[in-house]
Amino acid sequence: MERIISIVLPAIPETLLMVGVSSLIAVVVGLPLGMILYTSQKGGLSENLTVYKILDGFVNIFRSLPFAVLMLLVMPLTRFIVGRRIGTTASIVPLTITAIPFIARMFEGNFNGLDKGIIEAARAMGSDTLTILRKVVLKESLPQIISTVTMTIINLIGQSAIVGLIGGGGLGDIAIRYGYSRNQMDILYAACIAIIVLVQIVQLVGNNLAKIVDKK
Amino acid sequence: MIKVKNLVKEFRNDTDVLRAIDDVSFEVNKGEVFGIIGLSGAGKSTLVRCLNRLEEPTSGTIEIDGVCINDLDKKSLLEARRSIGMIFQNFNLFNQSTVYENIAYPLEIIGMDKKEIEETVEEMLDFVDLKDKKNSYPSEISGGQKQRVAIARALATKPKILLSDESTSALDPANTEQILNLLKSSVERYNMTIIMITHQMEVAKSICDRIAVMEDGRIIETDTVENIFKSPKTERTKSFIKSLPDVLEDEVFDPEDFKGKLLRLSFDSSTAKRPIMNDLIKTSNCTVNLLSGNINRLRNGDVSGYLTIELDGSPEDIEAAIDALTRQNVVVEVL
Repeated sequence: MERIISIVLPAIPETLLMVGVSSLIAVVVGLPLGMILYTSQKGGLSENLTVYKILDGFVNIFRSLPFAVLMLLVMPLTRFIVGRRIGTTASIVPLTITAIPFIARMFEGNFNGLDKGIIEAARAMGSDTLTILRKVVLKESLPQIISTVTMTIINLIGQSAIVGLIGGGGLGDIAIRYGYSRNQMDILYAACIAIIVLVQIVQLVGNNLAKIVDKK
Repeated sequence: MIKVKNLVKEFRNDTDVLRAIDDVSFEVNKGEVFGIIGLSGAGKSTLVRCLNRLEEPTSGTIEIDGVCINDLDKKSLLEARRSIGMIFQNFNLFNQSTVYENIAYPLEIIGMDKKEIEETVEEMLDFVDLKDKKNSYPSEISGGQKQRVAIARALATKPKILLSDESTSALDPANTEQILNLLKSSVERYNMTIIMITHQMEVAKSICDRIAVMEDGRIIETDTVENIFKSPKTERTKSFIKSLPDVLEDEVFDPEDFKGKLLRLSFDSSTAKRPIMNDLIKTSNCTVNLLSGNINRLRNGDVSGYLTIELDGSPEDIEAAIDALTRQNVVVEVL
């Protein structure tokens, strides 16, 4: 038992670090990206189809690549940014790159799901586009934004296990190194349980937060 | 105050051009409540959205207080919109903001300081009688209350004009009356000019000074409420005045479709209040089948109504029943 704990426990903060940093960057980059998609689309607040088509294409390309492939594809970039190709810090790069287009597309959907009448009311009151985005769109879709972030974090926990395949660190890494390569099934199970617990906690916190925030 | 000239709005897709507004011109005077009435799809919502350029007009001019709205650049347009309030059928309140925050929003975006915002919001809450709902969210208040918040929000910046897009259509009669009273008092208190879009003649009748009737993107008739009611010039206007229940009268029954005899009974003030059908059913051997009917209260207090019924039985019984009805002063017409 002590052996299991001594192996699995240190992997948890590694996973949290990878997922935490990549989610944070994904939100910081993805939120404005989602807003630009929302604003520039046909009939959007400031329609600009050139901008929309470029961003839309970019998002589609990255979204259509399976994560395992993307991970290998961005390795040179990873080495350029982090200085090495594998390990916990290095894993943050592909995780972030896969999360940004995902979360941007989800945010775009959140914004599009808002009642058009509310936006129209804000326009009728003489709000400029930035004010509408800041004071109306963001505020009105906050519960959905929280759900999207929750979903992204859960996705990233899953994908952070895949980077274990190339020595990425974290729970996925020990599941492969001990469970798969050395046939130590107890470690594999323990890593699985840790991942499940993590996902459950994130889901629970996310759901409740979204509910508390939602006044509709 | 508002001058609209030859306004056209077309919606295009790849193959079709839809002319939603077809060469519309009208003028609205200061302090006037101007109604635009029409069926859904007549183009009235599009028309009112052109006035603050939520929709860009295809051609024509809109002049408000001498300023041509069409020519305004982006920044001036935002300024202009701030002096035109707007309320909607679905209220369109910010759901994640309290009543207070909703009313404060238009004040915040014009850069008013906090203290002044607070005073203005309190004043508006007082005007719409919702002081106790200040910290409630829209989901916690009723439809009528939501529209009152929307009115407070629209009037907070003291606009010169209020555009009302079917603002009472989602409300029950009691709330409708309350909202209309509120709009009337806002005309007096804030010297507003209101453009009122509606499909309810009741609403137009009770608040508007003048009415424009819209059909297929065109204004087919504009006049004072009195004149519109006294001498409507078009069929559409007449049908609005007759209002929905009367439409039934146009329903045509084919006597061939019925086994018995079809009768149309007309009542007036003297006969409408007596239990004539009750007597008929009790005394006659015929079976009585009610097909349609209506009673109208006319403006001078008189009553006029009709019933279409089917009488089934032997010819003698039917004859007797008709005689009995005629004796009661009912005008009987065999169809």
